[in-house]
Amino acid sequence: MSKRYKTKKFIVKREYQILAFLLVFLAAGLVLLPKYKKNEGIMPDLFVKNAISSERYISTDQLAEKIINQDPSVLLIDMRSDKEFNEFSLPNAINIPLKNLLDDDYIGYIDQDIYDVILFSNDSFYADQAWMLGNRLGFKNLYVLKGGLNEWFNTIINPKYPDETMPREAFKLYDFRKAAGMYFGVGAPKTEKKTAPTKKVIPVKKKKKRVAEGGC
Amino acid sequence: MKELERTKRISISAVLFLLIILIGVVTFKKPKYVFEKDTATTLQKIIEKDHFLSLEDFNSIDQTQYILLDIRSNFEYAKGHLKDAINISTHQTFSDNSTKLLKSLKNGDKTIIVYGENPDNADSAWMLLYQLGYENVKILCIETNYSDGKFQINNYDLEKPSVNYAQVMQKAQSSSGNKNETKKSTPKKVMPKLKKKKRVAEGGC
Repeated sequence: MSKRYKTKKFIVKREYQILAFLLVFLAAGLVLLPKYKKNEGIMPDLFVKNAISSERYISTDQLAEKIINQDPSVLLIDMRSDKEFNEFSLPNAINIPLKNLLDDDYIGYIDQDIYDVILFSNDSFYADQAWMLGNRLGFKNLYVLKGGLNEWFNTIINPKYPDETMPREAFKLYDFRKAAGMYFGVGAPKTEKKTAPTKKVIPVKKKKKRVAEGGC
Repeated sequence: MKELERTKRISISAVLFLLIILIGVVTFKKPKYVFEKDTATTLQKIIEKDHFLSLEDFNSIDQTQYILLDIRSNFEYAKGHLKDAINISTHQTFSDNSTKLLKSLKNGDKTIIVYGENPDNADSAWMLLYQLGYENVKILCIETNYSDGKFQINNYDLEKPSVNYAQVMQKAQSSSGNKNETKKSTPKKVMPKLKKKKRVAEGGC
């Protein structure tokens, strides 16, 4: 009886201490809970949403226009090996081989929101993979050159002359590509030089005739 | 009286405490899908380049060892597809049916072979699956298209330069004279250096 009374008294007396101890004990239990697996970067469903959209692609024509206009917001990144980079690359491109993408030295180039970063490689495969990793990590302003350097050579450097049946836009595009090619160091072919002067001669002749008619 | 107030206060705080815990437990939402592989391991895997399968290799493997996954849209799939391929277009990866199917394949001994219109498309599915923890996935390096009323596949060489770029440029420049060379070197390379400094400062924060 007296013993029971004693414990009761002890509990009443140290009520707060016991409660506090209980809370501390529970809190300690929380620490020991199994670690909930954390997801690095964005969630998979958002990843898919970004990955299936073609917004990330920029065409070679768009890129050529940007370079020619000296758009200051463009940052070109070559994803190929440094050997390939040294042989040939686009003007003012920076070389980040795919394997070094996440190195501390290079991550700063892709993880920023000042420039539009355009990734490219021989075709768009490596650049796409790099883009996916950037997408996962939530980097902004990353773009991929559609078709890569192969497409660049097929369109800008060596454009195909459109068929006679093609719409006028195709010819306009061809002219643009030809001019862009000249900017990037490809000479104008001789045939084009020939056609230019003959066109100029014709309107001059016509003008003279019309003046004579007006006199009558 | 004082004693009563004190117990009241204690019970109120106790109830509040329990309530907070309860709310925490109820509202805790575990994401349904989580990436299992981090970006560093994924990059490592990409560099190894052993997740590709050329058309030749594909033809030489036994059919019981793999499952073909067509990641194009249902419409394209209906027009034509490889034999015995299953259609899960990339945006449907998280639908109930495909989740069930993919889960059953996750730790099997069969290889999942992904293909799409071109390897670029298949790659987005591969990246997704690999990062979700599927290790037995490979990309089939083919281009598929529908022409002449037939489903056709062609081998596709990844990252293969179509021409020798340096040679072509040299040729073009030598035939066009010096004028263009001066144009090419526009002084623009200053930008990247500026950026580096800014970024270092950001990291320090």
